[in-house]
Amino acid sequence: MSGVTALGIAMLVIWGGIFAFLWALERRVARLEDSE
Amino acid sequence: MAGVIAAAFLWSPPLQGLGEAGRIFYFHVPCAWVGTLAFLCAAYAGLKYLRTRDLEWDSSGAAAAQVGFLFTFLATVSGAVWAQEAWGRWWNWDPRQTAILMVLLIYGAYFALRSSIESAERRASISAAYSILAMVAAIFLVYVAPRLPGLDTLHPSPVLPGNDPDRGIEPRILMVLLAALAGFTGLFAWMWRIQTRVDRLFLRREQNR
Repeated sequence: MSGVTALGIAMLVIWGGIFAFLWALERRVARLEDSE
Repeated sequence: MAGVIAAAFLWSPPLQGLGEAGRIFYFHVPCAWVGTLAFLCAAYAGLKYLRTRDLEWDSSGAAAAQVGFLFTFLATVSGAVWAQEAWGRWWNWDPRQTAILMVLLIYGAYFALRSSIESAERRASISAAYSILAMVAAIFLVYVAPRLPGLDTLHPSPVLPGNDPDRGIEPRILMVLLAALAGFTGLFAWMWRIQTRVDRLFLRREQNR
């Protein structure tokens, strides 16, 4: 596997983490809004 | 975004004269674009607040500035990584680097100012005026000052890497860049919405206290 491919896969994993975090944050905010 | 990442690393050809490290271009440019867009949105929300006196606009403006600061910081870091590869040094006090650092300091002061004012209405008014002035300063610093005569910059001017005057822009580079810009803009819109809702929750709690 070339360095560029490995970096591409690492970036996909990092961005997957960012999107998972944002999605979880949005759900948490929605729950807090409902409880207000 | 998954498509942009895959295309940036696997489909796009290496950028002319920049090699494989030039692929950071697909992240650096959209981060800088989103930073500018976010500061424009913050200034727009500031104007709306000054006209309507609705505190929800203050939350929107603060959220846009927060997300803009994050993306401007990422543009600075990715620019430094790129500078290390292209120029051999992380930080060169290049006019562009100095300008973006000043923008970060201006918005850092904006957050310090916000956190120092207790009254929500007073905080909103002062922040709104500050965000409009800060946006004007940011546009001048990033887009006008580095182009002033006598300032030598190593930063590429708005010429796309891979732009061969004889053959035009490499179509794959342009496509990936446009897709990255669209993806980052969508990501900004999502983050801005979430952050605005968080800020409004804080505001409601502050008002109920």
